Amino acid sequence: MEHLFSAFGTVLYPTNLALLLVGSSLGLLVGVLPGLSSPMALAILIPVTFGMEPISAFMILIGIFIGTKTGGAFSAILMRTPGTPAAAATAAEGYPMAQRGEAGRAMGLAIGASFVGGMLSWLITLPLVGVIGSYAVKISSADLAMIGLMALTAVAGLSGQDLLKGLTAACLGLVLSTVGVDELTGTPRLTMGNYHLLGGIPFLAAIIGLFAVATVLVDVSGGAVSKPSRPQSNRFNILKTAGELWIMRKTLGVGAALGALLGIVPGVGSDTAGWLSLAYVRNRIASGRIQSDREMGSGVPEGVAAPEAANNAVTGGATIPMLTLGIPGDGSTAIMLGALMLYGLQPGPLFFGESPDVAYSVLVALGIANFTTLIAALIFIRPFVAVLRLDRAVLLGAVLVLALVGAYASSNSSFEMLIALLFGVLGYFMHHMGFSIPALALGLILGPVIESNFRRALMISRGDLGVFLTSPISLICIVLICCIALKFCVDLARKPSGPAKVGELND
Amino acid sequence: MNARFIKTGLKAAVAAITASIVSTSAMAEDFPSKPIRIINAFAPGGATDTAIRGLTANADTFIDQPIVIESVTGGGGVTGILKAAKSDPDGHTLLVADTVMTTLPLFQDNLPVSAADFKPIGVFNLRGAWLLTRPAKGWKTLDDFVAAAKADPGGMTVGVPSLSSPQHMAVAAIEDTYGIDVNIIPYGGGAPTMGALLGDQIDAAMPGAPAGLDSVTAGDAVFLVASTDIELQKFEGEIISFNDVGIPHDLGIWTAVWAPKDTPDDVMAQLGEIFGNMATSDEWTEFARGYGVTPMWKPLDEAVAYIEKSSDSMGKLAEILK
Repeated sequence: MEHLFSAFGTVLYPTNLALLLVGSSLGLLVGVLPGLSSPMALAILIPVTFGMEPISAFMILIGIFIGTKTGGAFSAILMRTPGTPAAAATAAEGYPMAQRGEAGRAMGLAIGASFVGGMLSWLITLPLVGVIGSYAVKISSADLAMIGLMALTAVAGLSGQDLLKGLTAACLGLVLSTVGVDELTGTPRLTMGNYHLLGGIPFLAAIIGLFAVATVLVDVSGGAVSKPSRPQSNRFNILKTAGELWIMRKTLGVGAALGALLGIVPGVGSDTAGWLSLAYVRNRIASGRIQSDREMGSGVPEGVAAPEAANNAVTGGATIPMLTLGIPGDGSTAIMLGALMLYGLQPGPLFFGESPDVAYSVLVALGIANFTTLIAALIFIRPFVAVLRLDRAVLLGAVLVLALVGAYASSNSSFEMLIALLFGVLGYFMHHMGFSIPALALGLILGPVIESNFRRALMISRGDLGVFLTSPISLICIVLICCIALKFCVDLARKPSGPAKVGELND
Repeated sequence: MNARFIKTGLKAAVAAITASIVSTSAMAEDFPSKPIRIINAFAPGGATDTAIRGLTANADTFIDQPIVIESVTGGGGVTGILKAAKSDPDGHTLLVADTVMTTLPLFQDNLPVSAADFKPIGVFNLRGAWLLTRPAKGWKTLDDFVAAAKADPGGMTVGVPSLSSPQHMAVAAIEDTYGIDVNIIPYGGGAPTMGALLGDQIDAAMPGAPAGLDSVTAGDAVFLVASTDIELQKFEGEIISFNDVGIPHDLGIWTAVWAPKDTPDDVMAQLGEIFGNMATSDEWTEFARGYGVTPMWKPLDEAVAYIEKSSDSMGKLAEILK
């Protein structure tokens, strides 16, 4: 316990706090720019932080980690291109809000919700540090497969207009995720003899293509969404925002819980959490539990708050297993793990015992970083919003350049730029045909999680399918999937089938 | 001819000769003339990344130019390896890669690049695969494990970090030597493999040491055998390796720095010296031992011989696996 208190003292020490603020600001910037991602920024900064004390170095790294989760929302709201994959869900309602002239309100909500989500996640996971680790490993392959399947079904099905098209998009994503060398047999699949595809379709490049490049293409082609119709009110009243957030507290709570839980599951993480919580909001609005004078897709504030709370909440869940077990939950935590090892530290069961000062400082920093990110966001909101006043042509051009540079920079390979472009074209066609892009994206992300774990579970059980029913988590997920499937059938029976609504990108 | 002319001529001649001598040696000493890039074909934060960053941490003591680690991922590693192979063989672009250089071609056909496109500068560390299990199983030695496997053919699950890796081959080596059949479960890396073991989803695991070291020290995992003679500073027991128990395969996971094959010999010699200095320095030795790998240094020709020997034994095991 005294370690925890002294860690607070360490983190709140002015120099470290300043470093945390610097990290948060950098993270915000990285988050805002589409194409720059958190793992990339962390990887670049590791050599820079080499000469520093480990704790100080981690102040910057954690600041970046948390900052990117909030920064992504800015560009999602202002330009409909999420700066990070995790913020993709925020654009669905955030951009329509901006179009109504409520950009400031949306950003205020995003900043506030991110803060709340991050803090809730931290407060929940902090006391459970010892326990989360041992629970995280008990998640078996069968559980992972079903969790992934449930998440995909929920998002694909609850993603709005055309159910069939949503499911088709998800399946296409699943097929695309099989490209590459099969993890369990070593056989190359769908690589067409091209060595570039041996590692599979580069995920970040595909996401950049689907969300950033496609947006540019749709806008340029004169798609349904063009110039904002109302003058932008970019200010927001902090108190008013706080009031709104309080009204939404249940939604925020659910979003944060989803995020924290999903953060623990390796590989599923922040990208999924945002979409899942958006699906939850949709569901709640459709069933009338959330009062809203607006329809989904036209700027529902909960649709900004919930995903932002969720994607920030993931940080707590993802970092704890990294610290206590040495098992990273996502790309960013994997790099932080590497950084810890470079400092001669060994995250794992003995970490807190052997290096309590660093371990507890990292833990405390995770929470304090929410504050520094909040402050940084409030400081930088004005300059970021000023971007909206730029000529749309310039904006789109900048987005395209940044996106393609980002696709290149993440792997120093021009093949990824090609993937970004190809997926951009795919996204363009999907948009105009009414297929759900997020469903495809999630199919791409969750495909390996679902498939590899499903097969691994069967390998371990020697072909016995019962393994999916004997594990409690897996069983719960299957029940949930059945419920969702039932809901699909009911919805299909009710709605008259007609042409899908054209012109809604993110649903 | 007047004396002044001769004098000037002699001075000029001396100057010219001196200048050419100085400039030739200056050309050799000009290396490196710009930052040295080391390409890592695998993800930042991984074992190779940690190793090379640790090795080059004190590079500024030995050369003026900075050493930059560049991560070029994709294609299962092939993209980065190919990029390094195609770069200018002037010694400024290098590759860091471990045994994957020898194992990749064993299992994938039609690769556009292989170890033959490079010359090793030196092998600088060694890890081994090691067999771990849970204390609750009650197995204390490899023989216990083998006995249990014989009692349940094809039933015992052993996790490995990836298919066709030295760790996988190590399990195959055990199966082959003792005539047992275990259920090999590949995971996506050392961390998930250890996670599965600690969660009791598999009976045993064969990650690459030092993955799992902390669990062993904490008493959550039990060590059975290692695939090669490794030194693990923080491990409190005795390392029993394949050699000790009579398994006729020595499988080490080594990491090496490579240069494109057309790099001139004098540049190779200089690179050998620079990396040799780093690899034999106290900083590297301490760092390496600290996180659980065995520092070593086998430069140039020694490296070639060492790598060939390793790739022969892996080739044999690959046949068994197929």
